[in-house]
Amino acid sequence: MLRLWLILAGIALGGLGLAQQRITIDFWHSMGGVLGEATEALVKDFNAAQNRVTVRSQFVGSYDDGLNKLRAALQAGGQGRPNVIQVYDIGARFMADSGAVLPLEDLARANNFDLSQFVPQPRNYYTVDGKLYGLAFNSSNPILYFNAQALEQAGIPYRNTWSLADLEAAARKLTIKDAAGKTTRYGLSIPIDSWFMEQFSYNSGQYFCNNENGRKARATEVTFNNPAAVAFLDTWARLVREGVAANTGRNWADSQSLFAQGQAAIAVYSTASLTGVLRQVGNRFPVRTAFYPYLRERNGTAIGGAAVYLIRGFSDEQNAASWEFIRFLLRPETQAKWIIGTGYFPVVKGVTELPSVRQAYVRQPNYTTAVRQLETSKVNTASAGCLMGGFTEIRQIVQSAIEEALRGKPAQQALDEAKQRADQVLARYNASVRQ
Amino acid sequence: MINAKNSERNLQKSIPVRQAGRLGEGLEVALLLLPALLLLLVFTVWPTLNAFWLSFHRENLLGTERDWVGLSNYAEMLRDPAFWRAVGATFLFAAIVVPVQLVLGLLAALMVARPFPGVALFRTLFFLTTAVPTAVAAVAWGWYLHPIGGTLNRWLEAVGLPAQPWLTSPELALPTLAIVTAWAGVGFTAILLTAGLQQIPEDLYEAARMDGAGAWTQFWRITLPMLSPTLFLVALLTVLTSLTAFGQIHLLTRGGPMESTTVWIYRIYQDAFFNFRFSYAAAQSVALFLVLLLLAALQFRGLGRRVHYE
Repeated sequence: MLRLWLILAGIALGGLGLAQQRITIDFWHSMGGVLGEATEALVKDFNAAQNRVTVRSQFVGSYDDGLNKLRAALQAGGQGRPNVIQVYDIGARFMADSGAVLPLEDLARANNFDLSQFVPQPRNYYTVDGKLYGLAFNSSNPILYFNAQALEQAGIPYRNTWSLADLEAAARKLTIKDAAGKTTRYGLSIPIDSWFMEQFSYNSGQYFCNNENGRKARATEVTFNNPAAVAFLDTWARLVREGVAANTGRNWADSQSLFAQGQAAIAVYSTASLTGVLRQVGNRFPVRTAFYPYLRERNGTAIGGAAVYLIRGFSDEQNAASWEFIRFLLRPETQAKWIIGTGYFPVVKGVTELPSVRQAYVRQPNYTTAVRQLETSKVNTASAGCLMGGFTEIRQIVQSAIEEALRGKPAQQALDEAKQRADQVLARYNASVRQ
Repeated sequence: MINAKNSERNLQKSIPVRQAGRLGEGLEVALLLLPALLLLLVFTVWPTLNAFWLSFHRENLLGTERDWVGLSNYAEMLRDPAFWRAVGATFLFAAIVVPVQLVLGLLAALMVARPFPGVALFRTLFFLTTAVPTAVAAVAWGWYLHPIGGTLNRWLEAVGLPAQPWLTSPELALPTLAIVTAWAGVGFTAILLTAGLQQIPEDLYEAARMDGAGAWTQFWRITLPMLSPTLFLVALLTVLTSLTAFGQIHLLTRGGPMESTTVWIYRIYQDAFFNFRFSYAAAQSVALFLVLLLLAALQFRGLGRRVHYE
């Protein structure tokens, strides 16, 4: 017992000694499960790789939980706020408007980091009013998932590019109904999520909010009633009513279990879902992935996921330590480890040429879909993604509109009505920023 | 122990230094209550007062600066159709949960109030739903209620009935959640009512039987009136808990589809922690607080008069 205490005391003292030399910075993230393990592994690697900085990582729950904790810390005069925090994609406008963020671009310039090393889409996404604010940490995009066995049996050749019309035809062909007309296998399953409407707009070259997705100037109106989004929702709703597409509600897991059990032949999820879906499917059937669909001409998807931001109000020494951590995250070897472990894609150039990444992609070619989709996407304000405040609330409104359309309300009408409500939310947000 | 303490107190009363004794005792009581009072103060009283204060303000994005805006949050709330939809959903929800939970709880209590071989097993079974954490129950119910291939729908199809979109249709989602809520609460209701039933003196039933009263008459003339104080208390508790149900909604529907399950408390949650409108959410929670207070007062006054006390 005494020996145990001596050891513990030794560790504590040793820890103290180290802490005096090392600068400790706090990193809040929202990665749970497999992704959480991969994140903790990166932190551990960083702490072991050098002896100047110790990153203390903390899982703070969902992205919304993390933002709420940040708000609470800032309200308490900044007590306990983190040096680095991970915030979801649609929080970009909010983070820039909050005034709480030390823009990444300022640090990068001060440290002579060449910003052109970034892959353009992630960089564009987190660039607000001409300045890069956050580092795209975990970047994903939406892709199509196919039950390859069903595809083969139906005589549909696999392709990696699908227009909406082609997808609809395939879904119809893959649907199996019994004598009573009840669907026994659905052709398509899409979780009710605004993200898929957003991405379909971008991939068809349309904007989700005005002023070119809020990239030319602050967005003041939503434009999710654009022709592409209306066509997408109209097709989706028609297929649900005809028993071709399944309606499993808002919960992604409920759609994934359907796909994994072979009860839906095509599904639409994020590339970040890939590891989970493959695990769930197991040996039931081979899975193939493909690019996200588009209306007439493929433009390119925007990135999803989250970025890490540096919070203001720390000493230069602390900020330098945070920058050292960011630099570590940007190293190609770190990126390689991260993407192989998670299914996200790299945010700096040259990572996909690394041997370890190449081998991983050969072993599991489905993981290349996201990267190829990114590489072949046009770089413009549509694929930069919509930048606006109040996005979480607006997503709720879009999801209600999807649900209305699936029940029979014309897609155009549902989205027009939702736009009225969403514009109010956006106006209120913009007013709260200017005050 | 208690008797000894009482006699000690009586002794103290009879001697002249009783003032000092009381003071000492008061101090002792205060000290013993202090930890609980402190917790109550920090985690209940202060946040409540803070919510009141917040509801008269409007804040900037991060909530670091606030302006006094008087009653404008309340005015906005009264004009907000989303708020009224949430209020409507809340009362519809309670209107299903309360009767279902009370009737099922009473049935369960009647079954297990009197001892019979194996009664402990049944009591445990009924109480089991209360012991299941909301999160676990919600995940399990999610499986049972899955729109395609969920257990419940498979059973329906096995007997030739069509599968139902339990949680994915705006008509069914709220009643389904209400039933899940009642299921979770029925065990606790049954326990309270069992205790109430056991308080009813057996000789009342004996006398009734001698007068030739059947089981039905006994239930209406003895059980129900004698149980009414407990029933009233349980009803009040059920109303209050159903108006503040959150976990199962958050986990099963997140307020959807088409906001059909966005009840009052869920609206507050979304406005505060999702939409970052804390002061507006505070106004809505103050309104909910007042409604709950009013309901409790009304029930105590109105129902209280008709409750039969021994």
